Amino acid sequence: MGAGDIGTTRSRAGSPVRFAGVSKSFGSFVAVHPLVLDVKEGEFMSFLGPSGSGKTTTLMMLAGFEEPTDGRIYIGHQDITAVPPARRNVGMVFQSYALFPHMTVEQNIAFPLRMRGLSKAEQMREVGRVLEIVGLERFGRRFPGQLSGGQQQRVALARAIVFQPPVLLMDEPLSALDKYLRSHLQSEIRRIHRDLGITVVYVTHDQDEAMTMSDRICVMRDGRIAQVDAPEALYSRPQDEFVAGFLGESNMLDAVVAFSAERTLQLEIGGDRIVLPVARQPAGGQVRLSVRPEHVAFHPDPAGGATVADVTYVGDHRRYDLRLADGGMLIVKAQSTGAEPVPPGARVTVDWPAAQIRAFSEGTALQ
Amino acid sequence: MNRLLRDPAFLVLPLALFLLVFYLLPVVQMLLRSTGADWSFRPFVDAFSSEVTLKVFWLTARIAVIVTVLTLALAYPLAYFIATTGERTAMVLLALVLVPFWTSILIRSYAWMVLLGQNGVVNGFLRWTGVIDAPVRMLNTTFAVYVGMVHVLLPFMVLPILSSLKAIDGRLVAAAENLGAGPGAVFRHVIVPLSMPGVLAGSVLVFVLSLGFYITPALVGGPSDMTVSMLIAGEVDLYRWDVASAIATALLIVTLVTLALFGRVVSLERIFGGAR
Ligand SMILES: Nc1ncnc2c1ncn2[C@@H]1O[C@H](COP(=O)(O)OP(=O)(O)OP(=O)(O)O)[C@@H](O)[C@H]1O
Ligand SMILES: [Mg+2]
Repeated sequence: MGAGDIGTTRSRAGSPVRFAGVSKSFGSFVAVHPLVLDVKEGEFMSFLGPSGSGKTTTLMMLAGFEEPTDGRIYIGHQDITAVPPARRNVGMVFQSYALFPHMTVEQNIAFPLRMRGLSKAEQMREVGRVLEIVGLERFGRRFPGQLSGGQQQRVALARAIVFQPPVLLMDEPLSALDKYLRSHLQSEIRRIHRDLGITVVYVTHDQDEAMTMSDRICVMRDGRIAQVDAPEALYSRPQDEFVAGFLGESNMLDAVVAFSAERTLQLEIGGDRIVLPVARQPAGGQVRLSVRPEHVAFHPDPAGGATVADVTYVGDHRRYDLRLADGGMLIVKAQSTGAEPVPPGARVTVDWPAAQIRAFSEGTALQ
Repeated sequence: MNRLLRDPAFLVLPLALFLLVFYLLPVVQMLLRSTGADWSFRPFVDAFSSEVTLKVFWLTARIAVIVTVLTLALAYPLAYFIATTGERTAMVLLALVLVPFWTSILIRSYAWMVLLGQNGVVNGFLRWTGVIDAPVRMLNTTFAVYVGMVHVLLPFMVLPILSSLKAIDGRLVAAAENLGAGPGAVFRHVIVPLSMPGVLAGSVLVFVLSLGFYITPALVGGPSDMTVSMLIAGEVDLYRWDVASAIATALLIVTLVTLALFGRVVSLERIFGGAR
């Protein structure tokens, strides 16, 4: 784990985190189903999922504010399931910042050091160090109430890393900030993660944020993990119909199995026939397909089965709404450079990109 | 009329009139009286050339300080318990604090006379348990004054502290724990400082109210437990209106100075009030 420009003596690698069958119920309601997940040391892992999918609950169990109904949690080699929050030594950035309003910025950041019995001089040195990391050297004497939202968020970050925890938790830390500040702080958090080599568990429901920041993303749904993978893999090879629809824009289409053999599946969609290299399925059965709008192409064809319903110019590309022969709709993104737009009403033939189509049966990917 | 409706200031007009006639005018009259003829301030000279007056001011201030400290010492743990316990227990306790609040001070003071008397409930109980052999004199002592006043003033301390404790964001407690603070440290570094506005507000209320206390010390206190209000009443009984006005004015000044001093401290909360 690189020490970067932080100073070699202070660098300490992050610790791995392991959820071993951790579940959480509130009464009869199961918020988190038995969860098995390994976060590698120094990894940036994001929890991504719709509201109520159990992201915060999972994070709170890691921080010690919720007690798991079942299962164990490990940080490094230590089982911390029964360790009180104060002795877990994990940094946490709360969505609401949770800065102490009666303490100055310096006192806020020094608080965890004070709790660990460091001398005044050591406290001041460490506070100065992290204030520099987050770029707030001149604000140490202010009270949180005298700072902007973005500055407060940085103080919260500084306070969470000043005691060099091996794991840093963040629950939607940027959701209250405007777009510009957000992307600025995103790169700052990435830089700090890189420099400190700390393990980060990050909760967000902003997929772009998860995509750009994470080493791996854990997509959650209804208290279960839908898929854990690197951003690219998640986008191009979703294992699950839900993930395909949740991450980025996707056309979801119903297709009927026309013919099936070993690793070839002939399907019928909207009057067209396509062949996918996937496992055998019962003939006449239903399959769900997902295909990204930027992966589909089409060409004008008076005998084509599809018609252009609408065209929208979106700067670098055009967005076509096509009506397929069976009445289904298909969104296509096409480069807008050079070519003339195909007018609404024109008949076209869709060029299905067999290699880019994911097929699902009962929600699970067939490939 | 339309204009009037848009500016709700006129709604306070009846109250303003009431206060003007029944409060402000008498106060002005009292202030004028206390200055004496030709601004000689003769009544002040008369009042404060007597050792008794100075002594009573001192006694009153001392009672007010002690009562404030005692009330705070009893109210803070109670408010903290109410703020952290379950909803039902909190309701019951709050009701117990408030019910005496709705009873007249006079009646409560009589109740203490019954309780603390030579043959009262407290003496009876202590003798029954064998702690004492002969009845202890409790009524008409300074002790009785403290008991009676603390009882009367407790709600004024409990309520502001409770409301400032309840206003503390639970996430701050979670944050402190996450940063390594055990229960004691959370209490000392987060709960106590953030409930200070309530402590100060309660203390000012109790202190200022104590300065003007009359009924309780008069009924349950001893001969030496003279308060400024009793002194004023005594002068009024003697028809020495000017001296009474002078003493009352002095009490008013002490009260206002207290409020101003506390006001300074409390305004500090503005600085960090904006963070939430
Ligand atoms: N204390 C609680 N008592 C009962 N149910 C709870 C409690 N805390 C959370 N839940 C439920 O558990 C589920 C998961 O909640 P959680 O806060 O983890 O969701 P989340 O993924 O963080 O959602 P969001 O994106 O909205 O923050 C929700 O259905 C929620 O209603
Ligand atoms: Mg949440």
